[in-house]
Amino acid sequence: MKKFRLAMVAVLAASLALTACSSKPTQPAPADKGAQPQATTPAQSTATFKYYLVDKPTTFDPAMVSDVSTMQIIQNVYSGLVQYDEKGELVNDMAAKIDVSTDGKTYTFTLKDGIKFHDGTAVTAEDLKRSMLRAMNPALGSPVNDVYLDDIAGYNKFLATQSKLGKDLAAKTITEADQKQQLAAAYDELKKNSGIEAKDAKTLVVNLADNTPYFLAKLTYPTAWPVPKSVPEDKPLDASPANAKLMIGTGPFKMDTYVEGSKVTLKANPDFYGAKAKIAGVDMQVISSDQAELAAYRSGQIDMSPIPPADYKTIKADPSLSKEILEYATARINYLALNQGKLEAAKDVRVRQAVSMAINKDQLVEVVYGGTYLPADGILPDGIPGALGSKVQGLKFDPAKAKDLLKQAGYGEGGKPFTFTLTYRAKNETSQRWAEFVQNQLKTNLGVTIQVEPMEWSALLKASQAKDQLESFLLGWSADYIDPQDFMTILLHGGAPNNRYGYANKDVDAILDKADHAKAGADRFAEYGKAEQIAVTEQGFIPQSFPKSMFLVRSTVKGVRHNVMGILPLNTVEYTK
Amino acid sequence: LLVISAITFFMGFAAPGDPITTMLGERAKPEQVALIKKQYGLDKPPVIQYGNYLLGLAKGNLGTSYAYQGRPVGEMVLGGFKTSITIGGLAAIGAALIGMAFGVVAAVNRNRWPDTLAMFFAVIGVSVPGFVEAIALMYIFGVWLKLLPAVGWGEPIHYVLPCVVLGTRSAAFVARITRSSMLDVLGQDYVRTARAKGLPNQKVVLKHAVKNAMIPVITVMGTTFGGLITGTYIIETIFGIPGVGRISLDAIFQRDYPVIQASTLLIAAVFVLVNLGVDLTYGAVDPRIRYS
Repeated sequence: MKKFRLAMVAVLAASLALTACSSKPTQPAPADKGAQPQATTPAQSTATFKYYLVDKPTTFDPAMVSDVSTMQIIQNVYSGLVQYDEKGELVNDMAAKIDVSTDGKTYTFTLKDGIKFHDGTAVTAEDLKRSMLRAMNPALGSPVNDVYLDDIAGYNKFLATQSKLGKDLAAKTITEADQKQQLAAAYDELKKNSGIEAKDAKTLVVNLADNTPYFLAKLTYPTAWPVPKSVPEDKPLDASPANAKLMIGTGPFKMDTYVEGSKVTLKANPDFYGAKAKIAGVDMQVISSDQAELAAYRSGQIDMSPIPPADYKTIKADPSLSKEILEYATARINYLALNQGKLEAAKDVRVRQAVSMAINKDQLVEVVYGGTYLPADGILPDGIPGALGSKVQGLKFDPAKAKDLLKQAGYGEGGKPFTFTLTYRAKNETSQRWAEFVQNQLKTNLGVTIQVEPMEWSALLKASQAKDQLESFLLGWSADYIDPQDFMTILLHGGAPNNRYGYANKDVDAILDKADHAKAGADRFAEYGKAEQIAVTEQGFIPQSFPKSMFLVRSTVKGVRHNVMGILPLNTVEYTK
Repeated sequence: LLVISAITFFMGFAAPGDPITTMLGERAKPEQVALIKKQYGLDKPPVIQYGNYLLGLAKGNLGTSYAYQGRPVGEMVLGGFKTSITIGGLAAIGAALIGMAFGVVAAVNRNRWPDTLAMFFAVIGVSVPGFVEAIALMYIFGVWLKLLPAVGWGEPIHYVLPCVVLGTRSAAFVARITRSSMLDVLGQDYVRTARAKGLPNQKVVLKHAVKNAMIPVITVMGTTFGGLITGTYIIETIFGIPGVGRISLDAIFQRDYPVIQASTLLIAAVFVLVNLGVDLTYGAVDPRIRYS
């Protein structure tokens, strides 16, 4: 009993001590940095940009990155051969010169002088080669290497072997041990015959499997950016605070500290070979709720914040905040697919056109997204070269014509019954509103009753990829790199895996094949525009909306220029008085 | 705990969705997904996966995260747990002290203005949802008064708003229970006897009544405080606190099963410990309860 009494006293004493500590901060403490509105004070070169991250970083490894928040860090700490400028045009970064052979299959990169890792060691062509091969290592398990590096001769071959082994294993024609052994052998072979060659310290030659002019655009993605030898070959650099010091890149900022899940700080790299940072560093606060981001912005804790869609109209109407709005189109399209591989009626182009013309997209962007998205007539988002943009001849909202087309196709009143199930992403509020909006529009404007059905995200991705399971679904596509090939060929070429709705037009395929392998100097972008117009007229899928990115940026902050991929290069950011 | 580990493990297989496709989104290719799954041993039958998991657990290895590629789960979850314990603990202690004070004051001044006022706050505290209170306090103290940081984590000042929001509901609850328990005790014979002895009112209340009124209060505190430490999902997400609540919520959305399993085990362990603690405290407060 006495023991309990003693314990009780101890607990009470401890709790009193704790409350004494915890009550301290309730007084307006002078040490409260966050509360001071600092935006107007900083001296230019010593200023720290007070920025945010929507999610904590998932990795510190450029080979592994696949999400926007992590990319925001990686793109500023590491760098590669080429990059986009603020107009979205491809420019040399580490490369001083790029020579392309006449057959378009051999790229010779000459490196700029004085490129160093953050630890001071010089970057050689050998580092670039080793890092590319590292990204291709199956043991590393990069989720994106196949998207960005598959044009390289040796890797193209390796991927074919890997895919075959996977199928053999699934069909049980080989054992798991065999598969493992053969894959390792294929990687050894790849290391010997990769098609990547470090000719001397400053010359890197890359041989491609085919003439694929969008290869350079793919190199803007960090997957194959150089990492120093200290980073393990077969193990990703995971996002732990301890690994922050191993994040040794070549970019305009150095990784400084990482407080797990809450804060990343970067310091300017004074030895950067390109345009040096105009600020001393960056504080990135992880804030996952958009309302909290807005509150943090208004309290002066951060100098830039995304605008929660629900607050867009209020902020637009606010006389002072409205001056701080920055918005631009993102390289993404949201579409409604009528699956021509599953839904018989969808094979008739008139049915697809009818559905398209029965949906009022101006109303869609208002009702579903509160005016924060743009209605999509075309397929290629603004900023993608070759995009027809406003010149595209889209199908305008026209219920009368829509009904007429459906009738001509022999469906609806007096014809064959027309109905389908529209599948959308479950537990996603905007997807649900979008699906219900489409359902409502088709009922009102076309007299067609459809069912809407939620499906868990990864299940929806798989079912749509199977091509013969869903009748109709809502999905979208974001650019992997800035080239029309990434939308047109990937989404609309007859055999493309992401052509999930069975659209097939031989003319489109021919145009795309030609554009994808065009000789240097040819106007391949114009070709994609032609294909875009055909696919829009035929409604290969039904374009719905282009998302916009919207931010508040403090008026004292200049140089905030996202590239078309939505990444903010922080070396152009500066504070003015 | 073993049962809980098995339930969470196999529930993961029943839930739709797979972590790798979720991570890759629209660009997920079937071959790539298969390859990465293999790397994590996700291609094996569930029973073998569970066996491997238990083997790892026995060695103190909770596996690596799928979403935070290669990150050891143990480190992730324990780090978050320390954070959650800190705010949960502070909120619990604050809630207990404030709640009891309000309850005692209300009971002693039954049906007079301090009682009405205290119970008014208690009703508000119980009924306002945490996220509404969080956003409201964020704007009042962060945006308008600029006294406290609206969001963030790291310095002691960052603890204030989340602790207040987290503790409010429990404080209100404790206040109401304390009040009714106190009223009950104050009507007892031995209190009357104490008063009849001529003891000053203060002494009667603090020495005789409060201690005896504590048994139901402690019971309630045990269950609510377990929740304070573990049920901080929303508050952690709003305030940007890297606690175990947010880690597990993120993990659920990402289908990051190793993280879900580890945090569920940990949360279950906390509940078991808190309940044990509560049972032991009874003995200390009421000598009639003994453990032999």
